[in-house]
Amino acid sequence: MSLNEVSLIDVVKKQVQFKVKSYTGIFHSLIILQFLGLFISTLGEGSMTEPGYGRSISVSYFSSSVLMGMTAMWLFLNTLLLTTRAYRDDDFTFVSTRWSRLLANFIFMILLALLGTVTSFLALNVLKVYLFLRNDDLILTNSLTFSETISSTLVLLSYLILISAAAYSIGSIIQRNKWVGIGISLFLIVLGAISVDSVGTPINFLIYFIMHESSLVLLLLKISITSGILFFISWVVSDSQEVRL
Amino acid sequence: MKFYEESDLPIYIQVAEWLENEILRGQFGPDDKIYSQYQLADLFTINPATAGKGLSILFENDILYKKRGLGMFVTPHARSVILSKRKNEKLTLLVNGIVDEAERLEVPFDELIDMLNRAKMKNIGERQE
Amino acid sequence: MIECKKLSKKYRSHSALSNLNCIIRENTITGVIGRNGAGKTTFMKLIAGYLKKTSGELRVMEENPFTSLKVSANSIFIDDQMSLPTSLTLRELLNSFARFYPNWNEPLAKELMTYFQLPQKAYVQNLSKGMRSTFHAIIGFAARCPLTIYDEPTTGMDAAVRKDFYRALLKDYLAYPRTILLSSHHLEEIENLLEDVLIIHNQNAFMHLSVSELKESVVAVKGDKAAVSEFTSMHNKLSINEVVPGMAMAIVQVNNYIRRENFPKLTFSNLTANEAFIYLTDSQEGGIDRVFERSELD
Repeated sequence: MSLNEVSLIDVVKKQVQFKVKSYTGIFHSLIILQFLGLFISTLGEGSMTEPGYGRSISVSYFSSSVLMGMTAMWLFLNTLLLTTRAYRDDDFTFVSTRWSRLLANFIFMILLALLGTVTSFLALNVLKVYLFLRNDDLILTNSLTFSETISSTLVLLSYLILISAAAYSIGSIIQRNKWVGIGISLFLIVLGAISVDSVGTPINFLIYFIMHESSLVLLLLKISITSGILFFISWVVSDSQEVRL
Repeated sequence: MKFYEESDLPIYIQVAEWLENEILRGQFGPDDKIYSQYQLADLFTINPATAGKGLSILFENDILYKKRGLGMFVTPHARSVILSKRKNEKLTLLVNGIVDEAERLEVPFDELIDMLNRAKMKNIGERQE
Repeated sequence: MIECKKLSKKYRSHSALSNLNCIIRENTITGVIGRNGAGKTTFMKLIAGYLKKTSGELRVMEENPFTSLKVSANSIFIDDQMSLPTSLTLRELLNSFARFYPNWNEPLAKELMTYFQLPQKAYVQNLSKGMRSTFHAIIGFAARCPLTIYDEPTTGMDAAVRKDFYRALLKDYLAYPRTILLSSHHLEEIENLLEDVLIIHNQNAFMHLSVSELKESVVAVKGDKAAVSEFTSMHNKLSINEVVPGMAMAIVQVNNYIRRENFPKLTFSNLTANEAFIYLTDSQEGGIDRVFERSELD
């Protein structure tokens, strides 16, 4: 029987298709989380009341941070799951190499981030409509121009990709060596907690480097580079990973 | 169709013997095309290489000949080759066994001949029925 | 198709394969036979590219299977623990395989699903052990991969299904010859299907030969004690026992064809391939009990 020649691009494409088709649980959980986030958001984040002469002003804040936070959490956890043994073994039941699997997973992660971004924006608008319908009071929203909407979407998307890339590298390290992976995660959490606000520490530098960038182009560039580094770490760590042990 | 499990002979020899029997039975006449190794493999659920080995034994014994690209065919003298081979090998072995057994049971040689005759008569009788 | 030179595999502390040498030719059905823990599964998972070799050389389709996309696309590994997503129905799973494997034989898959009464809408996790093995086997047939590896494929199947499986395997092989590796605990069930047998023993390729060679390489001889010991002294004796005083029976590995008529005092009998395998790989001296238990081994 003659051997079939296959191209890497073709296999990666099929692997992504397969993931979209079979990882239905990931999509279901996003929908549930968005509804939950929406519900929590309608409760409002805070309010203040200013008593005055004969009248009082009551201000309630609503924000999308809960929604965004939940989306980020969803992406982080599911990316972490992608690196686990069950998913890995499934991939190798079909046609796969370690390299094609990494590429397919990253493309899949970008798709997830995209989906998270779009649904978050949709949910945000649902929130606005809901508040609008509920109150006939004055609603102040920070109304964005079209280009601002685009750029904030891009920023959210790229942050989600960054979170996903970080989760994938951490997951890959954990898969190679549980203790090293957990150790690194704990180290990062502790270091992060201690040094978020103190200047001069590496974490602080990282946060400053990535978060505090006012130029959109530079921000996207920085996030891309950081994601690239994380991608490289994932590759180094997972390239000799055995399956079906 | 299962025939090999009762015997402890290698399968390719059993295949060769089965084909010889088919030729003796007249299923295949001179210059008839015989089963291919793939047909034999399918027939007996055996590996085609094993079936091929059975065929090549017959080829070496001049019972089959090859036509390039067409397969294996029965030689004109296949029947006589098989008969004389069987006579030489199998029948001799059986006869030796009979004689040994007769000596062990102290059956006189004449009586043995009688027994052979009786067996022969019985066969003829059965054929006439 | 497959070439191993001094192939070794170690897990953490213990060694699973050491210095295995073998060449497996294209389009042959090779039985991979060995006692439990001999290293059969490790050997086959190395070939499938699942595991990484520790040392030595391994070429499959002229490439290193661990990193080769070509090997992955042209081979499939079937066993009872195949990892399949639980979110897809059997039908959807077959569709997934069809997308990945260009030679996929959809009509055959469909017919076999019907024949073995596997419901298209079921999920693998709800199938019984035997049904699940049957489903995996169907994947193996339909994928029509140039290299198809079956590791204990009949686990859990009942006798009738096992028979069907072997028949299907052979018929499919005749229609589309390919390289097949087949491991089983039941050598007697598969020996007729095989062209070659690769015996893995003590983490090594102990013997690699045809089934008939394996069968002919071991004989049982019975007769006068002196004659038997004279005979065994010329060959590799695997076991010898005195049946009754003066009479002995021995199991002997022979290197060339024995003309039995040269030993009129001895009675020879052939062993089945499975018995031959058991005697060859038995570390202890086999007792006479073994000989009498021959019927039990079958």
